[in-house]
Amino acid sequence: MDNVAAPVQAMIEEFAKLPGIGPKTAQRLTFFLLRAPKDISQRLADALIRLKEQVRSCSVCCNLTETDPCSICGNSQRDHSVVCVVEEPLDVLVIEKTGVFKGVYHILHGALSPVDGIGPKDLKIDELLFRVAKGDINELILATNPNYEGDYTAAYIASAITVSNIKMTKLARGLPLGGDLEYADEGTLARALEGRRIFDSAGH
Amino acid sequence: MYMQRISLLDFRNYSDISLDLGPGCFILAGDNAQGKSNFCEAAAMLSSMRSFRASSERELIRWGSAGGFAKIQASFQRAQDSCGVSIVISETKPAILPQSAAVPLDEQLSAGSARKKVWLNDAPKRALDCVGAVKVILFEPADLDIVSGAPSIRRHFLDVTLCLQSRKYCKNLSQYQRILTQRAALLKRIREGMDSAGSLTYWDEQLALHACAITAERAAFVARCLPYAEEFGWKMGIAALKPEYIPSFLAEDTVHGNQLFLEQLTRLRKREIAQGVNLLGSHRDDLMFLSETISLGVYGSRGQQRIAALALKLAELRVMEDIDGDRPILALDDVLSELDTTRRKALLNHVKNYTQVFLATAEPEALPDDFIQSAVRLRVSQGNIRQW
Repeated sequence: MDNVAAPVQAMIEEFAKLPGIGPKTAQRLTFFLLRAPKDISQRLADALIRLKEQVRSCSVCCNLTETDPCSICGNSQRDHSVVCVVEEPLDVLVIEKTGVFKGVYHILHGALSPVDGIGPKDLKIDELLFRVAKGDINELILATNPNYEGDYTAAYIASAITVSNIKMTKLARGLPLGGDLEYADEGTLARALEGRRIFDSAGH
Repeated sequence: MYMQRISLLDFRNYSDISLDLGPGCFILAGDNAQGKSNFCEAAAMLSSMRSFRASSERELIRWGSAGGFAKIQASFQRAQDSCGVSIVISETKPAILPQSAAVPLDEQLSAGSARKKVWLNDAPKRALDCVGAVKVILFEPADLDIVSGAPSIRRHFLDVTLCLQSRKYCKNLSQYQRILTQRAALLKRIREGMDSAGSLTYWDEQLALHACAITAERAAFVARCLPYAEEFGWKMGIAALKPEYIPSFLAEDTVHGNQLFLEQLTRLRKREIAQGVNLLGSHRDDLMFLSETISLGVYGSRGQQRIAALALKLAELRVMEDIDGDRPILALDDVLSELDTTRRKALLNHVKNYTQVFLATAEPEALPDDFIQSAVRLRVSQGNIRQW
């Protein structure tokens, strides 16, 4: 692509570094910006700068935030004795969407995976242990992903916590709402059977 | 079961052929490099959904094919019903390689990936869901390695066979692989002082759970093969032929199996950490072929080893028949060349009443006359198949 202006080429290359963006999409995005009014580019540039300058890690839960402590940790209406431990900031968003959870979070920023060289020191586990050691927590919900790395991370945290008066729970595994039994895979269905509950008249 | 009809389009050296088949023995005669093995490969692929020898599925598409895809299509008659299987392998974009004259054109092409689509009775399916819909047992010259080669080849044979039988085994096995990789990496991290030995507890339990299940299934399968293999051995002049599964750990087929495994694992802890390797589990098991008490893998002649490998394959076919109530199709690619006249006759007598047999050979004149007369004779020549 020798016949493309250098700034255009540079923009394409920057876009192509992003996850999910291939060379074609990078070109399309670049030419969109090139043709669009200047203020679109200006706002994008401002947003990018603010993203890096104003987002930091919450000193309590390690979530990404603009204010420290973050809006959840700083909310006195929430139950600070119940901590839900998740792998990624995105997990917080989905759990918050349910509107059911009134406690606070701790974000590990990943899961333990020896093969990828991710050990306890690479995650926010020490921060969690520090929070636990302060003694204000009654329950830890280990909401890591239901795969080997997630389970291992949960098992590691459980074994690292030496305080005895803390309740540790994990999320139930089973059927998705609105799904059909016949489409569930055997593993999920087996877990759902193991974790079955007494039927009550309200139907849940 | 038997194949009623097969069509190959741009598959290996076949540009476009269709064959009507049926129950019985089919002799595929032809010189070297005419397409006998390619036919066997296509037949086996309809069963396992993958080629036993292509390193990239891109190789399966005929050189110079106009459409850029290969197609295998066949209809089968099973014990209860009929069934159609189609596989299409198409080129995706050739890989983007740095443009350099140093890379020959064919390497650039085979580096490009291929896409595979599968239909079962005209409905599109995932390849995994079609594995074993029809069953073709193939014996080809390289299968000698099952007896004479490395233990990993024997474990691979058992895994492929058991995956054909059970989705659960397949799933278990892929999870087991993942546990092994993570655990080995963790052992190395512990050795380097980056993790504590206590982190192993979780992986130990997972390893025990999966290893015990996998080893038990493999051992049970080999035990089922034993009587059939032994019977075939006697016919082929091997006394008391016995395939025997050798687990790398003591396991009882009880609830205590896991506990027992964990105890053995604890004893190995220091060595495992020092070496950074998983030392116990199904991935260290082996399969042994004995004649009376002699190991054929070590002391057997080449002919005996071939017979033992063949015995295991034929036993596999019978065990599948016992499970499904339907006898799989047998494809023998060039097995006769290393057998003497007596054993050749014994083998042909053993298989001639099978539902459907494909027998590829470069020397049809070495077959007994009565066998030739009773079989369907096909001549394979430059990607064409005709009766003779």
